[in-house]
Amino acid sequence: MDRPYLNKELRRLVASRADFLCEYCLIEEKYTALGCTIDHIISIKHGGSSDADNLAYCCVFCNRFKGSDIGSIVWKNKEFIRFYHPRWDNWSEHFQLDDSHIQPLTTIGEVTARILGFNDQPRLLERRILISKKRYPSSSAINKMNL
Amino acid sequence: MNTSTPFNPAYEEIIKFIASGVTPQSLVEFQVSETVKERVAELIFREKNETLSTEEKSELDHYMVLEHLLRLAKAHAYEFITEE
Repeated sequence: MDRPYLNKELRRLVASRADFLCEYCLIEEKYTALGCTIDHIISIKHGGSSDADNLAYCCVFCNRFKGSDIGSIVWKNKEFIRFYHPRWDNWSEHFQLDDSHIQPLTTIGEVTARILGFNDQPRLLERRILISKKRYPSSSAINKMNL
Repeated sequence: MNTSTPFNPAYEEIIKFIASGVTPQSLVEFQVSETVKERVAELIFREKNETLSTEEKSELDHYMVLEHLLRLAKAHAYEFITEE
């Protein structure tokens, strides 16, 4: 399967709509080295389109860990739960920043944080340092966190 | 000693960046080129669609290590900058 071509205008729209933040973990692009990528929220494998409303700005860690998944299972009740959807959901309803941890508040938040590796050790370390330098959350991330 | 040529194009950029003399300011402003970004995006996409070779997977793994290292270095660099 070829990677769908996304024109410059569409890429710019996705980036500016996201305020240059990863729409999942809310790191600001300028604090990364590889920049942010464009994620198909519902992966192409699962029928997602390349329209703007299925695209999200996404750091390389969140994007790679997300893979082509669209959710995960909560084993205690054997229920499939979809991921957090940046176009449908409010971040602050599903997650809360607790020191350097992004704590899930809902089952959607739980499966998303787990599969996208929000609280993996390397990312906690990065977040801890950014927080200590007052670089996370950035002002637009603060809005999304509803702080 | 034989040293193999790095196949990861980001290495060259990062090595040149370091060699040219890094300041805290240049570090916080550092991002890889569009070419490398495009390569990373391509590899992530292909991994999702299960068409990544073992070598390419290893290349992508290297990018993740570089990203982590540089995020840490960039964040620490703010200690040495008084104003942006």
